Amino acid sequence: MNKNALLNLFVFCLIFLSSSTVYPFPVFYTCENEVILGPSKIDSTDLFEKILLLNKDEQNKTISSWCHGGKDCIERFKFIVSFSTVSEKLAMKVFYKELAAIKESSESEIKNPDLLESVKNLKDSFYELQACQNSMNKLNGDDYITQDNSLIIPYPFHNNYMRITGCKSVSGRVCKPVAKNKIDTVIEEAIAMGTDPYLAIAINFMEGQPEDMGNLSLDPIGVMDIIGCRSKREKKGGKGILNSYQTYYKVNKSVVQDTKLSNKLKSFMTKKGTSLVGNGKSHYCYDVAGKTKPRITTIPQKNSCCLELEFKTPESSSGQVTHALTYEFINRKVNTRYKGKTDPAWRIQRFNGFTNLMGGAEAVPAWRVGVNYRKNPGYGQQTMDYILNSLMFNPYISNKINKEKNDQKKKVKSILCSNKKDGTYYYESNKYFDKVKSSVRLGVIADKFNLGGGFNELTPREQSVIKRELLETATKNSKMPNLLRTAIVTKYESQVSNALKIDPNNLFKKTNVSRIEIWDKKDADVLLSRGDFDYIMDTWDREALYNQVLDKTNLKIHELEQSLNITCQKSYTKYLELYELKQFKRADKEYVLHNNCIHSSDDFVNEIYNGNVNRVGEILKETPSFTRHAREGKALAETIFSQERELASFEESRYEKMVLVFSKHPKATQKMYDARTTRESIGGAISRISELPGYNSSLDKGIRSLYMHQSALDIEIDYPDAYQEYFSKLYKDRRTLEMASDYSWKKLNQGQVQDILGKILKN
Amino acid sequence: MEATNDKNISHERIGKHELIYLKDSCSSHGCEYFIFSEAFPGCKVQSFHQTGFLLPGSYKGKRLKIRQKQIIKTFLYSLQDKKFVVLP
Repeated sequence: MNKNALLNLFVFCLIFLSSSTVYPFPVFYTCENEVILGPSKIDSTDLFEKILLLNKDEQNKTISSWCHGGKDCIERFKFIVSFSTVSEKLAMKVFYKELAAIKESSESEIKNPDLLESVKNLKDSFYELQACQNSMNKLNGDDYITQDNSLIIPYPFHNNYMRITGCKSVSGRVCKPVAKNKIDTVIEEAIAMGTDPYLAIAINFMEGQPEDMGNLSLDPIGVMDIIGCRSKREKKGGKGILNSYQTYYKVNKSVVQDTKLSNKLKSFMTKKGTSLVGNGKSHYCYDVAGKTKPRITTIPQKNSCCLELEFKTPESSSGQVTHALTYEFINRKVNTRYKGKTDPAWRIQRFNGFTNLMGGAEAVPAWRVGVNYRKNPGYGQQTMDYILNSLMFNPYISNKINKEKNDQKKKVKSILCSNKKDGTYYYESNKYFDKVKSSVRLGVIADKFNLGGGFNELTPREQSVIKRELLETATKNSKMPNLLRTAIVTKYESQVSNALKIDPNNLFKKTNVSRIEIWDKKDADVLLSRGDFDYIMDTWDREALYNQVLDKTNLKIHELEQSLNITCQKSYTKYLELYELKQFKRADKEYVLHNNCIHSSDDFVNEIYNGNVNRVGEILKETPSFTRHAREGKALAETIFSQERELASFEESRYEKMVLVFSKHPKATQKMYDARTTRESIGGAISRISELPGYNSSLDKGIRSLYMHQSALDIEIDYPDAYQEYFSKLYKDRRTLEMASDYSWKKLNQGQVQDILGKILKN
Repeated sequence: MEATNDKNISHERIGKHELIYLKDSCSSHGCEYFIFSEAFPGCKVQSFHQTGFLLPGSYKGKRLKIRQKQIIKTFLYSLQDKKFVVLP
């Protein structure tokens, strides 16, 4: 390297070292047969050789990045220390000891002096980084366990995913860190099943809260699929058809021999207890109609999808085997590439699907709405970020994994090494964090807008997604009414409904407005005779009465359905009792009874809703257990039949004229419809609500805000205009996840870490 | 009842309610479903929009069942609210 290049490097280092917001550094790892080797086995020679093969620009970039990375790594090391009860002084001793050991061993290890000569300047920063990385794992893992046996999980960023620590935010009152024993179990089970334990833990964190660790489960069809039985989706249920959470499949009965899977399950069961595994064979069978729970049997069951187990295990192990198959499900997912992409994030994304427009329909928080997972596999990227920025460098987790691998004498393929040749590699520690942070929102719609597409040219799904964003950003959009953000509405609504036990939608009373008032206020340009106006009003008023009566009947039918469910539940409880007593044949009979009961109940209720009195009678004859509901069921079917007939004949008689008026003045008609009722005043509402049981004055702020919000929603929203305004003015500041999130997406500072740790240790 | 299908969109109309779902919206979390209902003569409104697995045969016009994660939710059309509401 010449003098100028060295000078440039020096300047570069100064810039980065003085920055407190930059936090990336290279994470080194060595793969052998797709297995990740421990940090102390990182092969520096291999890495230097790879760098020699780079062109000059790439070499400079790498050198620059490693130069500042050493300091950043130490900063991260100190961060991890600060998240625990370790003393920083002791930690630094570990680091210097590690640095000395690496220098000593590496000097003697690298035999080719010419090789090192050309990467001389890289050597020291590499050693420093490697020592830093090794030290993280060499800290005492027990310092990360709290008094109540929770595990402290340091995560460096203030973002929506910091929940991995157990704290959803810095200011939240309570933190619920993950239980140590749950992490232990996932590690043990994952290694037994040949699943990357870091990936298994990360996926658990992605799928639920820390308290849900280890609770992943499979649909019945997922179990059949993993065993290897073929299936075909069916439209309707029936004899021999699997009902997997009310979705129907025809599964081929078969006995599958899969030695690899059987061996994994043997390891899994051995881990659960050596008495659970013996010489011989057994079968894990699931009847293809899913009428009974999966069972362990000596010989394959009839009409079942069975996996031959090349070991004997007791009947009581079936639940354990079912659980073990969730790990095999992870293995299968990550072993399949997505459209030839090599980045592991794409494989992991398979768990979450590949929508191009994260919709307004899912229970997805507003800040994530509109992400395109076909372009940017955000779920996979965040999982990788959890692994690289937290789990891999958690001393407790990495020690436990190493110990467990040794105990089980297992080498487990790592997601970091999947499809990689043997050798040493590195990731920028912030690679995935940066990708998630800069994920583009609403790109599919923005592209249409940029091509001149208006709101009405969007698909219903796109309209629904953008409507959600427009409501979320209403306060900043001059074409929108002044609305609260969804999260605030949810917060106030839950406060109100918890305290007052009423539906927030019915919080404010509406009173009827006189016809003369509506007539006087109607748009002047609506050419409507007073006679026609009265006709319309009369139609709506009478229709509202019919609707009210019908809604009440519908609710009564629903109450009957709930009562039927209680009847069906009895056979399920009996089934569970018999299963516990290992009376499997009798248990199976109860399970079939329960299933039939559920199906008949569903048919029965549907026919009542349809007012099909004859069919209701027939079902009652076929299902004696419903006898006690017979009279009510028949009466409700007759009631709904006559009420719907009355409404239909009323509407039919008025249909033509109503359609004529509406088609002439659609907006004005809608306005007149809405003007028929008015909300009580806020003062009146507060004074009325304050008399309700459960009221206290702390609810006032929420009640007032909800009142303003609901009143604002009464005004008809011009979505096409609001859409134009949004993309012209607001979108530039809402384009990425970071922009739309309430979190800073910066590293947690020392004060924040102490706040979080204080709450974790208090638990 | 009538049902039509094109490449990406599927309609199923029962009475006053038209169920639409977009096939390309389907992922491991289910598909996106919309229902457009005739709120009053001549006026159609969007009365339902959810993602999940529609239970086969459960769409009956004014009532349908959807599985979201492992929970089955029943939705019923409320004539007064002019939209589908989830039943407890």
